[in-house]
This record gives sequence, C-alpha cells and structure tokens, in this order.
Amino acid sequence: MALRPPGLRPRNPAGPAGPSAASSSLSLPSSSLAPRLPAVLAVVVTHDGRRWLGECLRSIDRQIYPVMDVVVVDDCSPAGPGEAPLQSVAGAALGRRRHTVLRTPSTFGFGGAVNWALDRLRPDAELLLFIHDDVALDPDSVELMVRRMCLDPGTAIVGPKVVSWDEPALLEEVGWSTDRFGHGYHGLEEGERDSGQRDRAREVFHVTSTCMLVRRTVFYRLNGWDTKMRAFCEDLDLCWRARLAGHSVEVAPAARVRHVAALTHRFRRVPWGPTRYLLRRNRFRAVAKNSSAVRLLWLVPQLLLLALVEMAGYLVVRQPRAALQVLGALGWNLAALPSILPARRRAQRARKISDGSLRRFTVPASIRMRSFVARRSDRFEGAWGHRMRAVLTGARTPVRIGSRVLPAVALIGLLMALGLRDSLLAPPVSVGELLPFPEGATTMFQAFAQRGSGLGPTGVAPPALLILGVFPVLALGAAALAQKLLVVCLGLTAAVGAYRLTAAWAAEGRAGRFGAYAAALAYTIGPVGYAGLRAGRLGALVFGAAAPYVVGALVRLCGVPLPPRGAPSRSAPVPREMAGIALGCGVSAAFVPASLVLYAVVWSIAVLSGVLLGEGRAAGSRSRPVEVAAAVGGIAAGWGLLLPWSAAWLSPGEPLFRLLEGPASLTYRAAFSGQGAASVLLADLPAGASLMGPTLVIGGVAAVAVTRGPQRKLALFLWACLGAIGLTVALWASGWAPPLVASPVEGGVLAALAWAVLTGLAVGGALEGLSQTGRRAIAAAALLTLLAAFAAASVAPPLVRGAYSPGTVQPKAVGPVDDIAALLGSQVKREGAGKILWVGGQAELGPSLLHPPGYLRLTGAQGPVLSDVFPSGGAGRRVARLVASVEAGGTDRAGRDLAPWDVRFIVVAGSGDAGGDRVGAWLSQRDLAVVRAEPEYLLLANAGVPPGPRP
Amino acid sequence: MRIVHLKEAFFVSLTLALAASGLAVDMRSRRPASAGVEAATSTGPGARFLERSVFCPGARGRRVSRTLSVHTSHSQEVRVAARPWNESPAPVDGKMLWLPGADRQAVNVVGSGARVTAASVVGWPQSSRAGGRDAAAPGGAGASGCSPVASDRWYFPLGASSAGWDERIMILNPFPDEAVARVTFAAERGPKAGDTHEVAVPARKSVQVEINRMTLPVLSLAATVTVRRGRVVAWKTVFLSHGPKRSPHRLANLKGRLRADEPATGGALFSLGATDTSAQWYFPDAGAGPGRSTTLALMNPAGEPATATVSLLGRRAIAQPPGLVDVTVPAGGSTFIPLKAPEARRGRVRSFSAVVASTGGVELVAERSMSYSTDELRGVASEIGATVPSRRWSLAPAATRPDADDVIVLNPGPQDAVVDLEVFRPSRRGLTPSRLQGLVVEAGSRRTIAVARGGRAPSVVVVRSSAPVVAERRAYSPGYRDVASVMGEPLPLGTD
Repeated sequence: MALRPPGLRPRNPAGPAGPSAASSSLSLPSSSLAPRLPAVLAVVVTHDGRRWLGECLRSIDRQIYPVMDVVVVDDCSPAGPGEAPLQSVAGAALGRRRHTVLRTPSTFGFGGAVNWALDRLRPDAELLLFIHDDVALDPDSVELMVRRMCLDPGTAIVGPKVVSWDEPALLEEVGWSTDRFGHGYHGLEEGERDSGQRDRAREVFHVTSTCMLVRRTVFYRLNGWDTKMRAFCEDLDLCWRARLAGHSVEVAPAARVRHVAALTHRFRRVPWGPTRYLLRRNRFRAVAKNSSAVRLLWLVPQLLLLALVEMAGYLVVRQPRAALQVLGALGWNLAALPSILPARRRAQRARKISDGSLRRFTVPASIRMRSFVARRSDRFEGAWGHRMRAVLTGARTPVRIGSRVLPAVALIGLLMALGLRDSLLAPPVSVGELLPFPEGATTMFQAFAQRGSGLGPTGVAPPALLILGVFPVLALGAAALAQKLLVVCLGLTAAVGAYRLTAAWAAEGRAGRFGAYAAALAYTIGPVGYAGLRAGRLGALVFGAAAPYVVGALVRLCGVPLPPRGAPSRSAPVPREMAGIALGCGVSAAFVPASLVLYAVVWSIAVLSGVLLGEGRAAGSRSRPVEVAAAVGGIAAGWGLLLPWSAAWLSPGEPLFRLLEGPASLTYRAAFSGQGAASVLLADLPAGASLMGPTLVIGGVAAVAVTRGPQRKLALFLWACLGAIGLTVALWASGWAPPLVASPVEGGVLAALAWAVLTGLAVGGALEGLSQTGRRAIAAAALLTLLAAFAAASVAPPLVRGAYSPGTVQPKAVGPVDDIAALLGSQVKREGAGKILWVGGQAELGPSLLHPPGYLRLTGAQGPVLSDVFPSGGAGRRVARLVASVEAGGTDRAGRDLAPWDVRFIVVAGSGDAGGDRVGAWLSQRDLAVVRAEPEYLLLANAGVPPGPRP
Repeated sequence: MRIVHLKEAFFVSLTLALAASGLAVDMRSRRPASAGVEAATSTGPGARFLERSVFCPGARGRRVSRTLSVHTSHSQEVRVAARPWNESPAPVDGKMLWLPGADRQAVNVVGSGARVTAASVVGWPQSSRAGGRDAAAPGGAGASGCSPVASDRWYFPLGASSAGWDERIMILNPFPDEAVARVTFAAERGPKAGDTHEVAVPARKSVQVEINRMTLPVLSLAATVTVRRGRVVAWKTVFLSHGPKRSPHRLANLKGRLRADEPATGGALFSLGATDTSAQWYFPDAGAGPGRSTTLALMNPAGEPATATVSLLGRRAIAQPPGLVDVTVPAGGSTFIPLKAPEARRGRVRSFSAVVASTGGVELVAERSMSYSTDELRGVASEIGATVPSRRWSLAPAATRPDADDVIVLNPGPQDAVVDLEVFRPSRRGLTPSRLQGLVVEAGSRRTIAVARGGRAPSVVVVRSSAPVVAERRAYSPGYRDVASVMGEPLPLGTD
C-alpha cells in the first residue's frame, strides 16, 4: 500500500504555536522549545495489544510537547471478549490530545497500517511519530526527540532510548548498527543496566519502529514503509533508504521509552508466519533493495552460503522446520523479485551516498557473530538440551535436563578417556582401518566426489567417505582431532544406544535404570569396544554404534513383547521406525555390508518372538504383518540408501566379491578359524579382555533366572538371537558358507549387544530382587557381587593399562610409514605430492573388508590415510594387475605404467618369505630408481613420471 | 495361559536347537588355522605379460659391426622395439628379427606381448689402427647373448692382464639411477687384495673398463663386477693378438712352455658374465688336439676352497682324467685347466663336451675358451657354461654370414634324447629341414649338427628334445677369420 502525497490543507487551525483546537481545557506543561514548534502526528499502531495500549496512550497524553495529535490505528485486532471499544479506550487515555481512531480493513502489519492511515488522513504535520502499542514514553521523550530533530536539518529520523517495560533500568536498545547482511547489532551487553553510559546522542545506522520520529517530507519522499515486509526489518529498511538519500538517523538517548517487545517475546502472535522466516525474508529484501549493484554481486553469494550453512546447522540439531523457514525466506524473495526490482530502482535513484559512507555505522560480521553466539548460546543449549532429552527418552514430551543417561555417558566417557589415554593425546593412530584423516576439512568429501584416476571410472565411491567426512568438518579441518572425535562419538553413540535399548526393556525405576547403565558399560567397553579399538576395526565400531538403534526399532516393529510403559515412543509411527531402521542399516552397511544380513537374522528371530512370545494385540493397534514388512523394508531401504554402491557389492573388487570370490577370500575365511557357535555362546566373539566372556555369560544366564514377565521374554529373545548368530558364525567358520563379514569382530557385534543387554536385564532384575526378602534377596546380592567382581577384574586391568588404545594388539605393522613419510617429505615439497604405492608388507591385524589383506595400496604422499582405506574399484584392479605382472616378470617398465596414477614412489616390503623375490622383481624395473634399500623395505622413485608442478 | 506356556516352551526349544545346531556344526568341521594365509601373499589377479627388455651390449671400435638378432617362440604377434634406436615397436615377423648395421651403443630390446631372446653378433675388423684406444683391437668376431636381467654381481672366470691379452669389461646401467660398480680380481692364489677399482656408471649409460690399465700383468685373472649401488649388466670382450707362436696367448700352458700342438692364433672373445655360482656347469663344445685347444677357467667367489671334477663326454665315451678330479680352487681365487683329449677305446677323442661339477659343496663359476686353427675353423671363442639342461633351447646366430654354422648338443642325462631343430631366418617362418629332425643324441654323449655351410643367412635355431640337453652354437666368420660361440638360452615348455 503505497503512500500517496498528502493534501496541503492544514489540519490544525490553531497554528503551530498554540494548542490544538480539540485539546481539552487542561493546560499542557510548557515546552522549552523555540516559539515555532513543529507539529507532530503520533501514529500508534495496535494489534492485539490492549494490555498495554492504555498505558501507551496515557504516556502519549502526558507528553509535555504541546503540538501533537494522535492517530490510533487498529490493525484489525481480534475482538477480545468483554473488551471496551477502542474509541472509548483512546478517549479515556487521550483526554488532552486531539485524536482519532482508525481500523484497517484487514491486517496490514505495522508499516502497512501506517501507510493506510496516513493515506486517509493526509496529515500536514511536520513530524510523524510512529509508536508501537506496547510502548510507554517518558513525559519529555517527544520534546527531546523533536529537539534533536531540529538541531540538524539533515536529520530525518530520531529514535529514543528503549528500556524494558517491567525493569526500566534494563536497556534494550539505543540505536542499532548492522552488518553487511542486514543483521542488526545493538551493541549492548546481555542484561545491561542503564547508568547513563549510553546517553550520548549520536548518529546510528537505524532505529526501530518501536518509537521513531520521522520528518514527514522525507517519509513521503521515501514512499513510506515497505508494506511487503509486514513485520520485522521495516525500520531497518526505512532508515537505510533515508541514509541512502543523504539523511541522517540519530538516537536521542535522553528520550526514554519503555517497551514490552510483545512480538519478540511472543506475547502476541505474528499472523504472517514464524518470526525466523519473517526476519530472514525481510532482511534479504532490505539488502537486495538498498545495497549497491557492485556490493550486491558479492553479497548475494555470501548470503546464499550463509543460508545454506544455517540450514545445515538446523538439520544437525534436528530442527528441519527452521531449515525450511530459511529456505522459504530465500524462495519468497525470489518470487517477490517483481516487487523488489522497482523498489530497488527507486531506492538507488534516490541514492546520494555510497555504501562505503555507511561503513562507519556497520559492524564486521565477526563482532556481530560473537554477539549473536553469546546471545543465542543459551537458546541453543536449550534447544540442544531439549533435543537430547527427546533423543534419550524417545519421547515427545519434554523431560527435565539432568537426564538419567548423562551419568552413564559421563562415566563411560571417563572410562574411555582412561582406556584410550595413550592415544587421545598422541598423534593420530594408524592401525588397521583406523587411519588418520587427511588434512583438510573437506578432503573426505573430495575423495568421494573425485574418484577418477584419469583412466575412466574407478567404481562407485563408498558412501562411508561421506559419513566419515563429517568429522573433519566438525573438527574444522584438524585431522588429529577428527580421528579422536570419531572414536569418542562412536563410543558414546554406542553407549547411549545400549542404554536406551535396555532402559526401554528393563524394569521401571532405579533398578531398570542401573541395569541400563550396566548394559551401556558392558557394550561400550566390552568385547566390541575392546577388540574393535585395539585392532582398529572401524567397520565394527560403526556397526556397533548403529546396532542398538536398529535392533530397538526392529524389536518394536516385530512385536517382541516389551514391558508396558506409558511413554508415547512405544507407538512411534511405522514410517518413522522404518526410517530409523533404514538410516541405521545404511550407516552400518556403509562399513559392513553384511550387517544387513545379520540384522535380517535378528529380524527373523524378532518375528518369531513376536509370534510365540507376544501377547494379544490390543484393539485398534497396528497390523503386525504391516509392521513386520516395514521392518524388513527398513533393512532393504538401508541397502537402497547406499545405491549405487550397494548394487555393485558383488562386482569384482567390491566388498562382498572380495569376501566370496576374490583371492583374499581365503584370508577372510582363515580369520574365522577357531571361531564358531561356542565362541558366540561363551561371549568370546569378539574376544574381549580376560574374564569379559565369563562376566557376560553369567549376566546372560542370570537374566533368564532373575527376570519375570516381559523382561524374561526379552531375555529369551536375546538368547535366541545369540543362538542364531552362533549358528551363522559356525557355518562361516566351518566353511559351509563363506563368511559375509571380514572379521570375527564385525561378526560378533550383535552378539555383544545381546550379551550387554542381557547383563543389563540381569542387573536390573537383581536390583529389583534386593528389595525382596529372603533367599531371593540373598541370591540377588550374590549375583550383583559376582557380576561386579568379574566386571571389575575383566575391565579394570586393561583400562588402567590403557590397553584400549589402538595398536596395543601388536605394534602397527604396516611398514615403516613414519620413516618413509619423513624421507619423502622433503621430496614431496620439491617435486609435488603424487602418490605412494605400497606393495606387500601389509601385516594386517587380521583381515579387514575396508582395508583388505592388501597386498598393495595406493596412498597420498603423507602415507595411508582414512580415504585410502576404501579400495578404488576399477583403477585399483588395474593397479593390482599391473603389480601382478611386475612380480611375475611380465614387465620391466612399471614406472611408466604406474605414471597415470601419479605414483611417484613405490615401497616394497622386503620381509617375509616372498620378500626376496618380490624385491628382485621390482629392482628389475628399468624406470624405477632406488631411493633407499633397507632390510624391511625398498623405496623406489618412479622415473617414469614427469616432474609435477611444484606445490 | 497353557497355550502361552506352550509357545514359550517352543521358543525356548527353538533357541536351544539353534545353539545346538551351531555347536554341532562346530564339532563336525574344523578348518586348519593356516588355510588361506597364503592368500595374503598373493600377487593378485590377472598377471599378464606386458613387455620386458633384454639388454644388449654396445660395441666400441672403428668400423665395428654389430648386429642384433631377436627371436620369440610365441606364435601370437609380438612387437619388438630396440631402444634407443627405434622406439616404435615392430612386429617380429617370422619370429626372428635381424637388425644389422645398428648403432653401436647398448640397446634395450623390448618385447611387447611375449618374451624375446636376443643376441649380439659383433665383428671387429682386423686392420683398424686409426689411433686411440680402440686402435689396439686386433680384430675378430664374437657373439654374446643379451641379458634379460640386471644383477648386482657378474663373474668372469676367464681373463688375464698380460700383453697380447686385451680384456675389457663393458658395464651397462639400464636404470634411471647411477650405479657404482666395483671390479675385483682373483688369481690362482686367491683374491688380489688391494686391487679394487670403483667405476661410476651413469644412468642409462655404459662404461668400458680396460683390465690392463687396472692391474699388473697376470696370466690368469678372474674378474668380478659387484655393485655398491644399483644394478648393472656386464659383458667381457677380449682381443687376443694374432702373431707368432711366442704370442703371450698361452691359455693352454700356464707354466710358460709352448706346446707343439698349441694353436697360436688371435681373435676376439665376447661373452656375457655369470650372475651366480652353480654346482654344475655344462660346456657342449670342447676339444683338444691338432688345431684346437680348450681351457676351462674355474672361479670360486666363496670364502672357502672349492673342489670340482671335470668330466669329458665324447661320443660314446665319458672320461674323468685324474688331473681333472677334485681340482682345488682356492677361496676367492681362480684356476685354469687345460683340457686334453681323453683316451677312448678307438683312440683319442678330439671333440668332446665338458661338465664341471662342484664336489665340495661350494659352488663355482666356470668359463670355457676354445682356440681353433684348423682348415675349417680359426680363431678363439669363449662362453660361460650352462647350468641346467632343458628340453628347449634357443640358439642365436654366432656370426652374420658363417661359413660353418654348427649346433652342438650335449645330453648329460641317463636316457637318449631325440632332438629336432627348427631354423628361423629373417622374415621367414621357421623351417624344419628333414635332416635336422629326429636326431638322436645318446645318453652321456654329444652331437655336432651342421646347420649351414657356405655363408648362408643368419638364423636362430630352436632345439627341441625329448630329454633335457644342453645346446651351444658355434660359427666361423671368414671375414673376420674368427670363430664365435654362443650358449643357448633355455626356453620354458609350452610357449608356442
């Protein structure tokens, strides 16, 4: 609603010097201004603000400034029950002022309502005072603002000092600065008290429409408020346009107003959308209209990037609606371009100063960001805490912070720090699959995106690179920190999952809670954590972290009898459970593809449990076949999430092919020798520290004995899972079926979870039994004592020794990587990075699917890093064929043939029975120069590669 | 309730059944722990032949001619490049490539698609006296196989540093990093301490070491080339002066007396060194008597004395003369053994083969030289022996236009061998003349087979035998008035 030019007929026949004709007989306090007082028209816009409107109008009435009329614009407020008409409210409050009340036909927003009202009134007052309805002015505010305005003809807008309505000693704003993106910055401390420290009148970038005095002529020249904005940032826009037109905006802190900030504090609704959406939308619009074209060229990409980062951040904290709001704000501006462009043209046409002139009123983004973070941190913590609560309990209803899982997480974190202390403060480890991250925050993403070798496709990039790539980003590119973050996050995720799973199954109350603690402990620092960390089994650790969530969802969907709870999570929607299963399966299978098979085994046992152990379905409950199908559908969806990589699992060189048919399949099978059903049933798969197995077996057996009702059925279900997994492992170990996982550690993840939960159920049941009398209490006490003793004896020594650190199984045996990296460091600096081909010497700590028994490996110049763990598909096979040809004597120009992969150096292991022949074959290559020959390795430089560009 | 209990009992039974099944599977099958470990050392899938080089020596001297013969026994098309002459691979049409008049620098003959064998046939004109170092070369002809490997050591048992004996060792470094070679000598009494010379061989270059400039005159001197850094290939060239009987060339008479039947003849010896010791050495071609003499040089690089027995195998006669039984070779030293014609029932056997066998458990290196001065053959030739009999041999040409071109086949085994010869001439498919098929070589005997007479085109001969044999080739170049010999190269079975 554009503002039309006003009419010229004066509305105040008494003239500027005298009181208004409609004023009451009450005498007004005298003003100290010069004889000719500019007329002020106060425009009060109200919308659902009856609570404060009266006070507001009375404060206006009490103003000592004499020449002021008042317009109350009702922006289509909803009529409250029993509310007096607005005219009577205004009449009662504005006894001494000429006033009128207008009501907009629909809700226009502050700016739109003002424009509409002025368009109807066509005032001729020199000054317009815009006021919100939740503002109360000090008696001299208007006079002081007018005085400020009159001091400088260039001043177009003046604002007061705004303080809190309830606590006038608290400052809210004294003028605003902004950054280049339009974010406001008031420069006040949180909770800053008014001691006169901000009372210097000065020029500012903008003042808010809370209370704003504007020259009428300027206001009309600027075409009034931007009514498209509806709410938020219109004042920024108006002040910005005024500045561009060469006017100044000032703050007169001597003038003080109290403000409720009803909209900000959500004392009233915003009818046009969420605040976040409106703020961003209008901010983008203001920037788009008022920035110069040159500035806009580099501002727009930054704005888009910031918006993307913001959306990503909201997704991380699981607030997708907020992310959608940001996206919506962008989209609105795109759709509103037809209105932005003409408005921009007007603003730019009226421009009299450059953007650079405004720099003194702007703040760098960093300062604003600090202030923003400081202000938002408590809100973020609140949001995160809220989210954590929701995660932990699976409940939509809020739970108090200080949640029950936190002590367990803290204890586990402490124990992890104790057990991993050797590696937490050390450089990144390089053990098994647990290799250092490459330097750079996005290198893993690049490794995912750039899988080519210059010789055509190298196969589909494993999605695990994307999952792992999050950690360097979180660590801001610090590779060492990223690895530690990875390990800690996996451990804590596993702990939380095991706690949550057991807490849902265990008895209610403290007993069940402590049982869940025990399960979390047993799972995290039990066999999987122990064997997985020591051998660097990244796949097993990720599988272990995801397993509790997937198993929990499978159990809920397949009707395994659960203890009755009132929590609404019991009846989570099927699609949500299915999505959870899919996500968990996807994450697991990205590292251990055959985890889907193991989940399917658990699913089948869960279905049987639901049929045989489940109670009758309640009327109106979901159909079981649907849930069962949804569960298996979730597993299939997990496979689908990994497409197209998962579709190629059986292709040569890909994970399952390597297990089933590749030359390394024998090695994988050999890893299961000595294992079998007995290992699973004795909790020795994977092998934990001594006495871990017996501890878990005691807990597992006790779980059946001490539990009752649904807990016992769950214990039986878990035992059935152990039986099924034991049979599966027996088939793999015996050779009747090829193993689908690379190592016993991965194969034992679900078994370890079952043992941990059984132990938790046993602890919970025993604790419940303590409250009984007689033999049951004695037995419970004995069981708890036995479990505690065994647990302490099994876990304490390795923790104290720090034996959980990767590489404590045996010293890392992938070759003298450090020596070579140091030797090559200077050469890399001279000649460029290139790659290193490692041949032989892969003394694996057991075979691994991610890090196959890898006769050869292609790494960067800094040695094996995590992105090298994942085989490179077709190119890798070509390299393997070439290496085979070299070692079979089929070529003596390996350097030239390795040049397409930018292989600058070759490290040949010289140890072992085959070492001598291998070394001889590489020494016969005519285009490889010997750099260093040691008993353990031979380092060759590739003379067949032209020197690369210097780094 | 009863149904509930039954269901629960059934579930428990199912659980127990699963566990029992697993345990039963455990009990029935036990896999050895070591199975599959070998896979960790597997070289991976799909090894195939891409290309390999054989290293061929250069030839120094004015107007020296050097020709390369290249042969492959594979039936599919194989391409060969001789680098640095010719980078573009050419098909080996007819399975033999003859590259005459090529540059005289060392060459990599690269076979793409299959292994190739190559040999170098060199002729030094007798009258080249244009000054410079090479002007002293008296002339002759020689042939030597090209080496498929580079090694960190090369042995040359036969040598001397006396006047009239101009020995040179060519060391080729085909790799991109510099090699440092060390030349050491061994005499009859052992290693010549203090006589060590280091030679830097630049990357992809060759150097020639003149033995006479390195050490004092010694009549019998074995040389060893070892590398402190890198890998090299080494050949030996020896120019023996033509001249009167008082020629210092007295290979057959270490005591200094010239024997009446010693041929006083010159020529060139050209041979590839040995990279390793062996317990057995086979020399199909040997002889003694009017107009011919044979000398064996044995070298013992080990740190303890070695003993060897030399057996002489003639046609239907095997002899181990007492002087050739348990011949002692000092540690780190060498010894020269002149061979006499063994006595047989029908008189002396002039042509025989020699087999050197180490009897003390210490392995040796053996080289044989022959000197001819007959109506048919003149000149000198030497070769390192063969170490292993084989059923297939590839014999490179020993001369470009030989007057007499013979293949000598030794059958050291216990059963008769039937040999067939296939002849490959340049740009032609292999020929199997009937006269060269089905030839019987009796057990423990040898047979000389005339391949060509009268200046025929050079050829590669492939010998196929029903039993493991050793084959050598000998040819006489009338233009250089010198005989040359080249030991065969064993071929793996089934390569056609």
